[in-house]
Amino acid sequence: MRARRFFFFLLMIVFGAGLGVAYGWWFSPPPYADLKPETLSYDYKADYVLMIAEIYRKDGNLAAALGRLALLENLPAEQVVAQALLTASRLQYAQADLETLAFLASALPKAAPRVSPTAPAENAP
Amino acid sequence: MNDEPRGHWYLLTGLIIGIVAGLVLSLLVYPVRYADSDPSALSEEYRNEYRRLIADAYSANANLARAKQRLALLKDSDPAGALSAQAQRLLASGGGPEDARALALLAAVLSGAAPEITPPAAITLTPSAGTAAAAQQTPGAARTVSPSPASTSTATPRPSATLAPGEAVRTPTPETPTLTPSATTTPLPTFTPRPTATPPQVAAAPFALVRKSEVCDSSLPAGLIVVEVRSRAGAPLPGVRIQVAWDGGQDTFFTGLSPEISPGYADFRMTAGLSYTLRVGDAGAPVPGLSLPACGGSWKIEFQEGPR
Repeated sequence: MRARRFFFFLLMIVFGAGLGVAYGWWFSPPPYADLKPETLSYDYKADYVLMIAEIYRKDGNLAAALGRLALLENLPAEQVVAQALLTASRLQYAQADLETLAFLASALPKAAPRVSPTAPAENAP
Repeated sequence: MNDEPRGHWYLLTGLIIGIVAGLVLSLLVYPVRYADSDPSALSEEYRNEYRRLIADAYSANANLARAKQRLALLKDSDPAGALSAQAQRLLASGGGPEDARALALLAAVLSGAAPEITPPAAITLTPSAGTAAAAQQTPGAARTVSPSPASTSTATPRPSATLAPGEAVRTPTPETPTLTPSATTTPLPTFTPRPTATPPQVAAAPFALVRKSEVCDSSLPAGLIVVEVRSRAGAPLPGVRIQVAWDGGQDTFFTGLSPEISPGYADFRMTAGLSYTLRVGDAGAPVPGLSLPACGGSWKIEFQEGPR
């Protein structure tokens, strides 16, 4: 009798846990808002980097470009730009846009200090 | 025999324990994390940054169609108004005047009150295998933003799916200058750097004082210096920097932050007892002796872009 009660006790715990998880994940998830740029899909990230590259190509301000890249993703800047180049190639961006991204990519390894992936670059304004 | 009086409360106890554990798990330990989101879901702070990037990129490439499409991603009900409001907030918080100017300029262009800025000079490409290969690419997957003016625009819908997880981590090593994005290797082209874009002419053009008058009626709020700047053709000019200095201080503001009034409009609130000197543009002649009019009204000062 005691074993039977214990079995049903455990069963109710599992059932309750299922209810709690269902509530948190399906019925009341956090709102789809107030997200960070790192949650953007890859095509939007690529366009984000392209904007940074377009600005960099005009003003040549690498420090500003690095700051903007750090806002996008907590990864080394060259990796972020390389990923954007990959995505841009797959999505068949115009040649001029690929060149703009490559222009930024070529500037990064020479002058940019490597940021450790473990060191968060949370210097967002 | 002793079980009977205890009833079935243990079932309720188990259920409550389970629910609490499930809630902790789903809300605290492993909460829902969104991925593959779009820019409209960004927090206000990052939406502002996104708008700033769009405006700065527009200043750099003068591609209005692209700027419009990027702004559309944010799903603002009034993109021009959002840009203008952000420019004002930026200036009020002491932010970069160049960013505020870019935001105001794009807002004015979007509202149709200002002409588009001149696109930068065309890129000079060094012919290479990469260029030829790229030219032979067949359009299939269109992107969210419009292609550059040099490319032919296709109305292919944007692919809903992004890169597969396996593809996402296939990043080239940073030390490798040439990336291999796909199985059919397309080397990146070599190119000569794009010439620096010519800044809009309004930035440094000299402006001549056309009219300076006290306004004592109720057509203007009291205590303002109202500046109207026009181009040589007489069109209102947004994005013109105006400096105002007084004994012990100075401030900078821009035309175009109130496009609902006029793209060439700007105003500054005076303090009683101070005398202000105003200068429009980088090479404009200063206008000294501006203080609260005796009638308690405002100053209205009109400038026009002078000859080169």
